[in-house]
Amino acid sequence: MTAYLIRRLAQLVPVLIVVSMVLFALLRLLPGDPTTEILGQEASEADRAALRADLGLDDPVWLQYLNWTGGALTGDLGRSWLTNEPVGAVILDRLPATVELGLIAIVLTVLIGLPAGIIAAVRSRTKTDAVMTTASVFALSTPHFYLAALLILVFGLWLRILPPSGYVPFTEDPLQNLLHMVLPAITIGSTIIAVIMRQTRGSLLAALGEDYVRTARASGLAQRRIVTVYALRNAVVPVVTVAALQIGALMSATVVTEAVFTVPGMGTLIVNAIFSRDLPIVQGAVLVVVVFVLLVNLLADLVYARLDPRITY
Amino acid sequence: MSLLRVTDLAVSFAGRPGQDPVRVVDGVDLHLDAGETLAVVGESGSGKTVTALSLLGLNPASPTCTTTGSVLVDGTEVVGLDERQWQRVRGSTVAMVFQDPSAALNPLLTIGTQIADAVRAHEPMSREQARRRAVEALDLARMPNPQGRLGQYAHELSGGMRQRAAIALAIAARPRLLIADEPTTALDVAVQAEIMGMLGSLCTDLDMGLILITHDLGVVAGHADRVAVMYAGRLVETGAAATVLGDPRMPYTQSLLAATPRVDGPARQRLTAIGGRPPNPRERPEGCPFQPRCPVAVERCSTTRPVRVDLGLGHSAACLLVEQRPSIEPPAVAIHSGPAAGAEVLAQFDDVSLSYPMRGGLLRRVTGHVHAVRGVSLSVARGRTVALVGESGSGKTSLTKMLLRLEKPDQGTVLYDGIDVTRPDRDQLRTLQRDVQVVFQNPYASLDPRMRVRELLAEPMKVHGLDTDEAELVRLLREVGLDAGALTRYPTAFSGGQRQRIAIARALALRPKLIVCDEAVSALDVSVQAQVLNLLADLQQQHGLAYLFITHDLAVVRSVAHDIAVMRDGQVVEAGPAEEIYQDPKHDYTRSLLAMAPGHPTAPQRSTA
Ligand SMILES: Nc1ncnc2c1ncn2[C@@H]1O[C@H](COP(=O)(O)OP(=O)(O)O)[C@@H](O)[C@H]1O
Ligand code: SF4
Ligand SMILES: [Mg+2]
Repeated sequence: MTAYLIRRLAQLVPVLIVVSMVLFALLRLLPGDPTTEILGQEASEADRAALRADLGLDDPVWLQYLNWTGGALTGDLGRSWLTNEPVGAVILDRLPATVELGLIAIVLTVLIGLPAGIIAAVRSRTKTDAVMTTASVFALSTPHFYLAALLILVFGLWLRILPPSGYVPFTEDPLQNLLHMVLPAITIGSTIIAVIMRQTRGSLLAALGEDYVRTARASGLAQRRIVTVYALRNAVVPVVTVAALQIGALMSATVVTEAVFTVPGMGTLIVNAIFSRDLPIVQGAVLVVVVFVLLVNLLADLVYARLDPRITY
Repeated sequence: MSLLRVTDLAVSFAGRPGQDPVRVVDGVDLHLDAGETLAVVGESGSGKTVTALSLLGLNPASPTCTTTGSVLVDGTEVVGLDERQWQRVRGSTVAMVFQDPSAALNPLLTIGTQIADAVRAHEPMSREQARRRAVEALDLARMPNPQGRLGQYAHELSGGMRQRAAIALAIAARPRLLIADEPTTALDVAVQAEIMGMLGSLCTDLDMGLILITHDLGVVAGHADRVAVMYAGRLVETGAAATVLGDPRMPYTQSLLAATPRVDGPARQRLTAIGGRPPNPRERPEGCPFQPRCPVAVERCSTTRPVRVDLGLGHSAACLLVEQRPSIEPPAVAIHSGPAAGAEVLAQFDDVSLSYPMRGGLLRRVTGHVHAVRGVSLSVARGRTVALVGESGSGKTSLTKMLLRLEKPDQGTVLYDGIDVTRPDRDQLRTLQRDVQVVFQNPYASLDPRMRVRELLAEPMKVHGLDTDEAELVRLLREVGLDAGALTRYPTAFSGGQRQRIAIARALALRPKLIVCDEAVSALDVSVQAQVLNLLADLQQQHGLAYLFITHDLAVVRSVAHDIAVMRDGQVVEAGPAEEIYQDPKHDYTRSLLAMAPGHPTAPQRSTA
């Protein structure tokens, strides 16, 4: 187990190196001159040149890359070109909102997606199943920005029971914080809830048709125990895989959703930084997201191996 | 009072909307006393499993499936119980062991958990008590080191041990009646014998009734007190095992016996295949269901449905001619003898070894080797059949892989017709690709389901620039007993036996000289197996083919082999002409293999003229 973990973590190193190189290179290929964004259109050529030298933009790209990664290794992600704040501090400032959103979305998924899938499978080919399946199709085919707008319109502007946008830190006012989180979390969670529901339904139905479930029935076990222990456990294994694969989609949903609801999280941070060519911020934030995605996948593999004894580390 | 009394049991499945329901079990009567073993025999699709499942209420719920008739277990009627009442019966009164132990055990739960659950479903008790009961059940199933198995998962056990675990699971709640549905079909001969013996003594020790479902009459003798033969959902003959096997009165039972290869039968004897297939349940003939395949049918067989006639001493048979003592004439045709021993060598293994690396540790480095084949020398002569016998894992398939160029030997040489198989030049490679073909056990897996039979056959021929016109493809199909209509269909449209014929036709397409048959008939019903074995014999005669025939079934070996090589732990322990090995086995292992071959019917003796 420990050996497996070390091996898997070691495997992440080359992945991170490649990703960071690609990320760095792509950002240098963005059109536009960062100095224009920072100093404005009217700045003199001399000021710009001074700034370029100051930011190290005159160095060869490989040297810039080495400087950046060298700093990153010691925990220094550089400073924002626009505000001169340390990138790390900016990210730490923005992280809580996004993490909270993600957690709520995951809780909703476990509370709604999983049970809905189980009910749909146990009552397969009934009206309940049909209603749930149809709902999941809607959830999957509605774009996030559209759903977000719809939710704001209905709950925020017509019914006025939830704040239409904005953000209040948890430490300031926990209730207001949660109220502000409801709509964005539903928006982000919609897809993953539907995906998990469908996957749970499908794999639970498949497991219920397996020989070992017939054996359990033939031994006189109660239906409840058969579904929850003998079939669900087996059904959850592929659900974990699918959930891990959804992490990327979840990230892009977050970017859109934070923008629509004006939540000051990582999504808005990255979008704004790209528009203002604040490359250190973009690099740092994206790197954090990449590390996060890789760790989630590693976690999924660990859960997977824990659930299925046939998988050896 | 009998432990089990089934009267006029019928099971129907609702078809698609608009279709009539189809009756797959019809008018079945069975009875069984405690401590007794009843074998239920029949080809696949004859309704054995559906009958068994209806004794546990495990067929699909109505309206999909309807069950009528009466099933008395210990005097209590169980037909019509609701799900909760069934739960009390299942496991504690009637229990079942299924065919494939790898699929029947939950892969994510330990053996101990599964058995303890089965006990606790019926008797409330502490975890510790349930554990003790699990150990006790495993011990009864003669599981080595039962205590240590509790924490193990199914995948950590061998096939035979999995079946023991499944049997322990079934008997843990101390049922009165155990149903074993083809419990050894998926296992090795050696293990088969042990499991059958263990089931038998379990019944005696626990005074439990046993229903043994099988398609192999070979296992019936010696393991069952009584036999019930099913055909097309009906019971066609039943009685004491010795009577039914020794004096079968229903032509179907006689045909089954004639199609079963026997260890004590004459060598290289043509089996009497039962022509055709069982009728589709939707299109059962009005008269005797066996009539289309019955060699002694008379005119009224197609209009009058025979009822079972009591022949005394509990023997009864459903045949219109039962009073006349019908008897199918076994055509005692020995297979042509083929070239004599010492014929020209076609393929030769010379002191070959093969090992597979095992990986482990932090960097998945090779930590050791599994020696699959160790210093084997063996030759296959032109036009002859060499049977390679041994338990699974003994290296049979690995050996042939080197001939098929799927593995390279670590040591030694493999020669085919003078060509070094490990280093052929381009022309030699083409020769090898054409001359050496293979037919596998599972005709479902080896034929691409997305290709029509036409493409399946033509593909290898095109690669080798052979003519693939219609006439040629039809000729190939005719050779394996299929008609031209098959060309436009997909493999899924065929039965197991027919798919195996297609696989053989595909192997024949390149006019090979040597065919490796890797358990090629192991998955087939006896009747179909006899057809395929006869087909292989005919093809050998016509084309002078050589076969390298891998099997674990010594009775099959008896009916096909010129020469036999017995493998164990990667080595050939004994090899020579079949006759010598059967009559005078030199090696202990060969002797024990022969002794363990399923006991075969003592009669009727087929003439060897
Ligand atoms: N769930 C089912 N739905 C419809 N038909 C079935 C079902 N189970 C079995 N059958 C049909 O019942 C017949 C008998 O099958 P089975 O009892 O499995 O035969 P056996 O065990 O003798 O091989 C077959 O024609 C099979 O197709
Ligand atoms: S009734 Fe006729 S067809 Fe049926 S088994 Fe007897 S002889 Fe054959
Ligand atoms: Mg069956």
